[in-house]
Amino acid sequence: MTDYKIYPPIGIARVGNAPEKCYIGPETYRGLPINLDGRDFTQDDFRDEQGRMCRQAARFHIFHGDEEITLDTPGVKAITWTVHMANKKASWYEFATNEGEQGYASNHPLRNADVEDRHRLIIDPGPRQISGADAGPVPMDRDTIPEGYKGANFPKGILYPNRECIDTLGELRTDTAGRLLVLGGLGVSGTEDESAVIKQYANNDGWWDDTGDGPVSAVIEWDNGSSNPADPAWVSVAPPSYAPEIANLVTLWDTIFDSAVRAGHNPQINNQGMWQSGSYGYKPNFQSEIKPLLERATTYAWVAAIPPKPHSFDMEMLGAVPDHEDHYRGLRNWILDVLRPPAAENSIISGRGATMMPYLAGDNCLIGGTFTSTYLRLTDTQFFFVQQWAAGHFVNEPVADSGPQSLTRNVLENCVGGAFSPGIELTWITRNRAIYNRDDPFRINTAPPTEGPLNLGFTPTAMEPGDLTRYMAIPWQADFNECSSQPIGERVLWWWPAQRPEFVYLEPKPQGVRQATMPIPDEQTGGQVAWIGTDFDQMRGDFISFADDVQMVQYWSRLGFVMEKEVQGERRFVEVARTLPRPFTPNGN
Amino acid sequence: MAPSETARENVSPGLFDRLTSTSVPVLQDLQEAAQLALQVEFTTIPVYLSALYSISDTGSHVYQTLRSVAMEEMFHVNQAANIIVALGALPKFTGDAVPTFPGYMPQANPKTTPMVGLFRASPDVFANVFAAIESPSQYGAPPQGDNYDSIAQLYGALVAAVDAYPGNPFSTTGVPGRQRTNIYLGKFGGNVNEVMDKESFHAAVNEIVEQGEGTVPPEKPLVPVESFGTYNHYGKRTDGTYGPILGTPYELSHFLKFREVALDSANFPATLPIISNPDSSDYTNPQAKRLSDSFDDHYSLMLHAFEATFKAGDSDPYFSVVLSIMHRVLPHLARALMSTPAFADGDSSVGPNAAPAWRYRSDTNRTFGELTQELEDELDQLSTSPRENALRTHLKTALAGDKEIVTSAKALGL
Repeated sequence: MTDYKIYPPIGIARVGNAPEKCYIGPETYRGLPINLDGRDFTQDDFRDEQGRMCRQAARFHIFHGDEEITLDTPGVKAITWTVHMANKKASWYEFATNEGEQGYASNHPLRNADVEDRHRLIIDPGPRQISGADAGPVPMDRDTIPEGYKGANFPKGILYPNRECIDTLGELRTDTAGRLLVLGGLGVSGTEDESAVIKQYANNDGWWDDTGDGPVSAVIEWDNGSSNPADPAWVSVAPPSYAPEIANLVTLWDTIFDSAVRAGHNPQINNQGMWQSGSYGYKPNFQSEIKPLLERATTYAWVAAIPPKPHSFDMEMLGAVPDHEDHYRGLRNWILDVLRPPAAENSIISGRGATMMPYLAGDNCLIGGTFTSTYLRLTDTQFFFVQQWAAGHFVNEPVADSGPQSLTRNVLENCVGGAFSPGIELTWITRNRAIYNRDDPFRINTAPPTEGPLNLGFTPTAMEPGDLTRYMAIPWQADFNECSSQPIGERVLWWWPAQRPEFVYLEPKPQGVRQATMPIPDEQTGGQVAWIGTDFDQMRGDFISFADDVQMVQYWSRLGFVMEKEVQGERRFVEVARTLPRPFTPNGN
Repeated sequence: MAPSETARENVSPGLFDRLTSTSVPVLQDLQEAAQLALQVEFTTIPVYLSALYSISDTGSHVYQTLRSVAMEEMFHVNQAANIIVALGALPKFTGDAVPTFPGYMPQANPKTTPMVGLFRASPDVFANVFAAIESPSQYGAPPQGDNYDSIAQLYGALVAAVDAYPGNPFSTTGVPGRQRTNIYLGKFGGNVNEVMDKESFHAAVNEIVEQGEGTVPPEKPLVPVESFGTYNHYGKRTDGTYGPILGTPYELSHFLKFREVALDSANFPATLPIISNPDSSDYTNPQAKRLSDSFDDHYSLMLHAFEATFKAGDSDPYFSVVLSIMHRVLPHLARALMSTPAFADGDSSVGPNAAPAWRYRSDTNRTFGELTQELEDELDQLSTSPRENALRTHLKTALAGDKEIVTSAKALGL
């Protein structure tokens, strides 16, 4: 613990195949990415001049309390950043829904079990440093391994099907004020096996991808010769965010916050395991804790085939704080009753006969016989907020920007917080309180710098490079392709439409002003089309995905983004910047 | 014009004879005609809900189908009430406007329309009562308000009368009522619209008629052109699976939904063993009597409050009282009744069990607070026998709903 801390404590970079042009990930909730030169972000900025997808950099700031420290801060002589990323996916256990969350069983299979030298399964370029303004790029590649680092390793040779090599996990840059920008890999995934077959959504022996994660540390040097280290943060590399302005009902912030609340970090909400309910308990703020949940349901209609009418809400009625009379309790209860409560993770229809929401697949709808969680539900904390709100115990106040805390929340609210099967950015390891600092609930325990090679095990008090992303699918494209729709019983549910669109609207027109109320699609909006796939037969492998996961490895960088635009005089979320033809028929693989 | 002259002879000249005999209807005629349409829609709701609550598996296709129809009927009642308000009157939901069972739909032809009652759900009830209520009109059937054979004829008479009215009979200002467009919740077809003129009136009636009996030939393919269907919804797809249907396809009419259920009798879900067309004076189990009265009192108070929500003015008890009674109290009280033997020393798993009578009790002078207290006493009296577990759960939930609204109800003078 120092007085200086790096924010956000977890930053997310995203892959792209453009080697140079990049943008900074959104630092506002449901915001667009940020251009390096500060220009307003447009649909042309998703790709470079050659139509290649830009990488999304994770930007890191240093704060002292609420005050940001940059190279422009008086007295600051230099800021030196150190980043050490690795990819440990191939060396870790197989992903099998929730198995392993409470510790792996002795019979849990390893990925690439026949490889004896497990260190050969880690992609590790070693640590890199950068300092100054507008510095870099400092590549994290196989040609610039730091002298004396003993753990370096990269996949050998050409990888199929794309005949590319994984030579780098990304690069470091700094902006004009010396803030750190971390870029991830180029989205290269492949196997040395020329037939390049993907057999499964999460575990594919012989396969590699170039995502990764690791600690970010910084030292501030002052003009007077002294220096201060800042509390380290973590960077993790994820798939692209194809619909940056649409958020998941359960975000990564919600999930980590919930684990922190239940661990006692917010006694005003949950004190020693007791929820502070009732009129004297915790009063959630409609504007920051309830309204966003309803809005997320509304915006899902732009990226999934769901009826918009029941997903549009009268915020004035729902946000009216009861005084001596409570005019809208019935309406609030109606919404509470539709939401899937804790312990009903395996029910789709409520006792009342209503289809419970969210209509999304849960953590564990894939493996029978283990403890199951077929359908997603709100986190305990989110559900508690909704309960308090329905009972009339809430406030409706503007939300103050709380500096670095807001930055943390904004960045993580643009990520998936469930279902974790395994997920998009990170998975259930983020619910494990043991990996976080005891006093700083979003900050990961960082192992001391190492000369390598990296540890093969799991030490939650000393997390190493690669210890967060290793749970994710290998290659990420397999899970990303398959986890579109999920047949459960006679129904077909969605996974993460806000991150991985299922159905999109077309028809781009020039950009206008953002409107205050949330638009919803209707008959006049025109038909929805599948983002990927033939959209005819739900039973077919290519319903709303590629028939073969390998095709996602080949074509991911050419898929369209979903962006809010003015179309035919109204605000809509429409597909933009797609370079793949529509309709598209892959030619074999 | 009537299909059966003999049937007509027994019916005294009514409202719709006036409508057709005089060349120019007056506004009051239109108001009464719209009120009749409202009462016809209203009549179906207790019928459908009694059968609905008797189905044990709320996830079953039959339950879900019937639920979707009951919700759309509530929407039709709301839409009819909006027409009345636009015609300058206030919709009536109390007193004589409340349906009594068993009986026929108001002013329907008893020879060609079904006897409507409160029945335990079964394939036969779906075939002989529900599908018959929503039966499409025959080709060329004339508009007919009295002694009608199908609901579409009744609406035909209303439309003909409105069309014959000189000028615009509808007004949105200076009327004593308030149109409601925000109370139709859920994912089901259609939207409740404001009625302003003859055009919006026609659209509203079309929506009601087509959702009900339907006019679409069943062999017509699913095409996205029905302007009032649910845009993007879930259902049986043309690929044979259940899932998302993009656009706004034709929704099955109520008639076809009921027909589908009736034909698939092998998959009909289990139902609670309730008495049909219940009358609480037949019960020898005093608990069943008390619960039946409590249900009727709650129902009556809800109707009073509902009527008030269509009156212009600041006070609007819809979301504070009406929705809460409809959504959090009545369904649970109904199920509590359906888990209570009608006869002393009966076995609720064997039956016969009591059922809601949906009686309007104008004579009741019990306040909402007293009703709440009675439910609380009822819970206290329950034995701890596991046999009463279901009853206890339902009563507890209903009581919790009561307690939430007791203050708002008091403010309304209920």
